[in-house]
Amino acid sequence: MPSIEIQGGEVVYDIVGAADGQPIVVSTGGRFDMDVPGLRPLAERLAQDGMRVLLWDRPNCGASDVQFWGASESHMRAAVLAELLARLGMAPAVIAGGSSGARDSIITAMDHPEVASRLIVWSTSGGIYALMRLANVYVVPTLEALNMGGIDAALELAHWSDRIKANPRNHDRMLELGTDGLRDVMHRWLGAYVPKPGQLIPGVLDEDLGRIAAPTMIIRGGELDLDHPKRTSLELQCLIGGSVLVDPPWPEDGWERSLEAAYRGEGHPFDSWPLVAEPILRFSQQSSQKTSAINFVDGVAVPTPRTTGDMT
Amino acid sequence: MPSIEINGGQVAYDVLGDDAGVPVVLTPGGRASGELVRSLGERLAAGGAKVLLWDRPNGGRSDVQFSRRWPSEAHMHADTLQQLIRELGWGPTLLAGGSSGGRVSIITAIEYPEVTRKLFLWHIAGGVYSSMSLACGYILGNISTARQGGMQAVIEMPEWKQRIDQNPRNHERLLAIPQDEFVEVLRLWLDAYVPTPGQAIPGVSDELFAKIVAPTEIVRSDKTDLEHPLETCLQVNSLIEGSRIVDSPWAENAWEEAFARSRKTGGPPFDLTADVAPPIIEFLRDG
Repeated sequence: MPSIEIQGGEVVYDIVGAADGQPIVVSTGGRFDMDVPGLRPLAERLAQDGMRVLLWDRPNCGASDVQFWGASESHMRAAVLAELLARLGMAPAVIAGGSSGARDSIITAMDHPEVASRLIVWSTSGGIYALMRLANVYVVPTLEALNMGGIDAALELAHWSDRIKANPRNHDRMLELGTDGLRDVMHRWLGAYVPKPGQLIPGVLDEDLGRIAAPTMIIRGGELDLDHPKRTSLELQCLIGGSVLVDPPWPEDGWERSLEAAYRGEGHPFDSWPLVAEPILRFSQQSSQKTSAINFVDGVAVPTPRTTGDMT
Repeated sequence: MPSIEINGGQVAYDVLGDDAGVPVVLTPGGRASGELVRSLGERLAAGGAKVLLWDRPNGGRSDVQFSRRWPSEAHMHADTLQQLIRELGWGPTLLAGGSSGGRVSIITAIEYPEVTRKLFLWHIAGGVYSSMSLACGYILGNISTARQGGMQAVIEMPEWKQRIDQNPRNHERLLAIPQDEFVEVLRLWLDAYVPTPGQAIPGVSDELFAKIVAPTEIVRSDKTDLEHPLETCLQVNSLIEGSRIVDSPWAENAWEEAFARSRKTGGPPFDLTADVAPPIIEFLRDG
């Protein structure tokens, strides 16, 4: 698997599809790597229809070098992704992602507009339960380990020991950062997940989302999805001017049922991700004029009028 | 072990010391049983106190309780405690508690001044990291497990399995809660742990501390303690008029070391608690 050094760390990536295809990067959720179920079949489907798809192990996932800096983990990844796209000659690209990959994508389009031709997100996390849970999955166990046994205890956590197994350089990278260095970053990243008024997306001021200029499509959250609430996707549409909201390509309760199935040991919650290929292709192949975007709300296509006034 | 029915559930308790002693109730941290502070209780009893130990609902041998009628688990515990004190006919009691037990004691003193003689607190949890970590420990795993595997999966979680081992009634009590209702209650209780401006401790608005009229002493927190930060201790001191900070009976880093030890052994981190006996005895004799 090829890799490239960005911000002082190797980033492992893969490209699927013809060299002259429309460039798109798809970022996965959780701290999963590019081989998570659902992702490659989605990439292959997009490649079949003429897209050139970048998959990557985001830093702190898979076999890439770990990276600990930035206002939040997603801010760090957004900066890495922007440089990765530029270095691979794939910018500007459609920036697409789900769940944590949606956060990474949103911040990429916001902070690095030059690399984003379009923004497409699904399964956007938000609300008290989801954010508290993210903090407790991504940050609290590491802080707890640091407090109890320093950096050595952190290295023994399953997630970090897996990163070292996948890439032995990560051992020294974490050790070099040390107990206090990692603790400082973890406290900063924890702060981003504290639910706050005026921050729909962790660590991002609502008004900054208005800077996103790329045509944006938001795949709506399922009605009872606590992890990626419908409400978060609707608020996101309000905050990104001219963005369009489309119904999810899976059943309304698809996420909840997939969690139950995963608990029973049947499949992965991202198994249904190839279903987003259709809306991605539809939106990516439209003209880039925001005014021509089509809203698919409740299954009905409605044009989204956009005045130029809200860009000024 | 005696027990008494409160809010439709049995609450296990024990009383140590002379019936004529000054009444003291001890509430430990975590969801720990009163047994954890038995040695502290014995020292206080030897110092002239009549000591109430109790297992809070959802901790120890008591019946579990999950209901939206209380805005947080600590509010449920405070309501249970005041009823327990009344049922025992004790009258105003010195409320002594650490960590989650400190929170319960504070809420009891705010909402039920008539059962509160004095308030003695140690290891008060607050601040971003501590609150987020409490949400993790008490709430989030329960919600995600219930959503994925229903109440059947909840009763298989180590914590609830232990509650059922200690009290087989809890098996039926937990399974009787509809999954949606369990998730709803815990989402409500989760809100208390969201770090919120104007809430020095989880789920309690700062202005409510003004209702505490009982003499209050607070053990100074260690400045390296992230679970019970010094700033929270000083905030609570500022919010309770007339409250006093007392020196910690523990060495610097004692909490961190005990916490690390408990993670290795799987035991509770509160093996230090008996050390607060001398300042409590002094406090209960004052005035």
